[in-house]
Amino acid sequence: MLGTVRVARGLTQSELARHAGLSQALLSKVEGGLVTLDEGRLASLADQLDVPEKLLVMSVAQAGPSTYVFHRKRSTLTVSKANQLRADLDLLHLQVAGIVGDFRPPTIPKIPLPVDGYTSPEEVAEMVRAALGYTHGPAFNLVSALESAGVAVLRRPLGSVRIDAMVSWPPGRRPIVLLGDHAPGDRQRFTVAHELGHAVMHDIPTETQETEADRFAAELLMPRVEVSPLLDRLTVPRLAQLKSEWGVSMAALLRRARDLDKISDFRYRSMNIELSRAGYRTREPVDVRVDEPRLVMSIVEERLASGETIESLANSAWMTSSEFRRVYLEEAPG
Amino acid sequence: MKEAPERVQMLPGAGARVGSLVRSGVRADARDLLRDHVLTVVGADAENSAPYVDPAVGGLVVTGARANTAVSALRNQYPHLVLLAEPNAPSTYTATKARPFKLDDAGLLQETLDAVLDGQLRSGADVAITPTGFIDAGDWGAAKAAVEQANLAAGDNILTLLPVSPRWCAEPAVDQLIAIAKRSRHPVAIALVSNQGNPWSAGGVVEGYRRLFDEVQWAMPWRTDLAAFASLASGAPAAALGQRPGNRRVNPPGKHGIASVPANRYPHVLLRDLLRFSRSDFMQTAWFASTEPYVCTCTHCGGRAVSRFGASTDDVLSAHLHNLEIVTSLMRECMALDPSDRAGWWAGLVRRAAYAHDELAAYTSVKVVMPADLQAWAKVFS
Repeated sequence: MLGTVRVARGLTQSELARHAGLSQALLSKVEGGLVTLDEGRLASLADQLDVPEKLLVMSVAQAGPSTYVFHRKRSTLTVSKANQLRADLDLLHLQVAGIVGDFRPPTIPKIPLPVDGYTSPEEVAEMVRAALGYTHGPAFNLVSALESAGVAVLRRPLGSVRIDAMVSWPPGRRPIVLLGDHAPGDRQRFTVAHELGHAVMHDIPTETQETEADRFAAELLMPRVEVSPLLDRLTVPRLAQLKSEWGVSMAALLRRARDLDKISDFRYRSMNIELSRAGYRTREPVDVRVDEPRLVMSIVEERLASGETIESLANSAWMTSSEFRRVYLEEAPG
Repeated sequence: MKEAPERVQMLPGAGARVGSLVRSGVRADARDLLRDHVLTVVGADAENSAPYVDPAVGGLVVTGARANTAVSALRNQYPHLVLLAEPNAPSTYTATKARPFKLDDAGLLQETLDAVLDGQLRSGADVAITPTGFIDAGDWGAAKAAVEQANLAAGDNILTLLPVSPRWCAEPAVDQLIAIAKRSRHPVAIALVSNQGNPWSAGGVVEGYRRLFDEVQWAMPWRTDLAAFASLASGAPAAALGQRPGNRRVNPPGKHGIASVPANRYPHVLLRDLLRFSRSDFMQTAWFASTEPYVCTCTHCGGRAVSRFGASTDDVLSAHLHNLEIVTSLMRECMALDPSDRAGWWAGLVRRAAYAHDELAAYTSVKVVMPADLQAWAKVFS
């Protein structure tokens, strides 16, 4: 896992080699599994990377099956940053498995979309809504609902405002949604729903995956049957009112109205211009509460309360004690 | 109606059907009956229009609350004309997953789908049309239920009507509509139901519409305008085109068209070169206010101005018969072609329509904009 850890720390081979007093060529061979490090150099690398040595010598195969990582990002996110976040998510799977273990296994269904389009993302969203216990009305407390269904959600700085979230669900593990901490509540809720859509519907990347995840999110948060009658005679003030009632952005509600044929393309464009003139494209009125993840932290607290030491917890999470303290106890993330 | 004998001469005899597959006591399969036919959807004009329909390439779909009765009467007069009776479900009933069809439950017993279909066939209709309600945007449950329940109806002379919001025909929803339509064991008719102007003008609808008729083996457009021919060019084996504006469009239940001006009784006149309908009073006041109007050489116009039609009942009927003759000429041209050549034929017509708009603008010194749907067709078929 040396290569994965290095990328997760945002270091190039040259940078790490220099810090650890190795040649870049040697480090490259070690990451490629061609050379085994002696104890001294292994300790030096582990120290530089602030990880336990056992993580560095773990093979990628031992770490568990890898899977495609879906992320809600802007196109300007650099490749190196995206790679760093993907590696971070691989490590997060190990951490979560070590901390949460078999507690509350995932119960949300995996429903791949058929190739011929007979089942739509909206249909899948309807099934998932039911599985999450939403019978009617807005899907509030979505993060809690996901955690109740065994999905691990973590919210922490992602080091870039160009990415909102990532998700991966490798076979045999629980799905993990990694959320950035910069998005407002309405955007965060749509992002969580979007990432859930990826987790439920997608295993391999497709051309249409982002549109499908958006459609899933729209139906999950704004179910057609309930929202459609509310979108008649839409105005900007009405959008603001609906935003407070449904916890989704005015922009998402407006798009939903267009997709449900409640407004024409022309009206959609003119209302977007209205929103833009009012400055609502950059900052919408009406604040929506940010859902805070609790699952992982509550288990950390329980294990500590039961007398387990930080060292033991860190060890099970494949972390050093210092990193564990910093990530789970000082920053109090999810 | 003194022109009637001339019209009968013009068209190869209603009742003198060429190559007919029907009516020797056994009903033909809906696919065989409808293939290579462009049906005209009519309301109160059914009786007046029937003599002018070319049974080799056309037929009538009678609408309205008394459609079955009207078909029954027409059947006796026109034994070889393809006749259908359309249930008035799409504009009065919204389909649901539980009840996709408009069925009367006012009596002691719930009306059944079979009873509705049988009623149409008993009245003399060649093919029975499912009384499917309006399928709202995104209501996949209603769309699937309509096809699944229609599939249970016995017989080969059933047409499953899917009256859908235009959003169903745009990406990404069109993928699911195609998949649903492909699961129908009956031929499928697709009607676009909207009160927000021309449904083909909405973003992506023209492109999706073309895909739909290309990919679904037996789907035909329903209650269209000249988009009927674009559909045939896309691969549809048949089409149904409305005679009056109200027959070319369907409003969702409880909704009225935003473009309708009920007080204006002037007829919409089909202009072949421009591939568009235009109200006669609009042509009089906007296009030909200071220039000589275009003339038409069809049987009904006889070299007179295309803009001459007034708002009287006779003028309106005459305009609609002019439209029918032009549509019939297009039908014959289209049906004479191998299906693989129809796309090129339609592309040529649309290209010429673009020139015709420029010519009209130059001739009248009035700005004449090609309608958005025609522009979209031009792009799709370029």
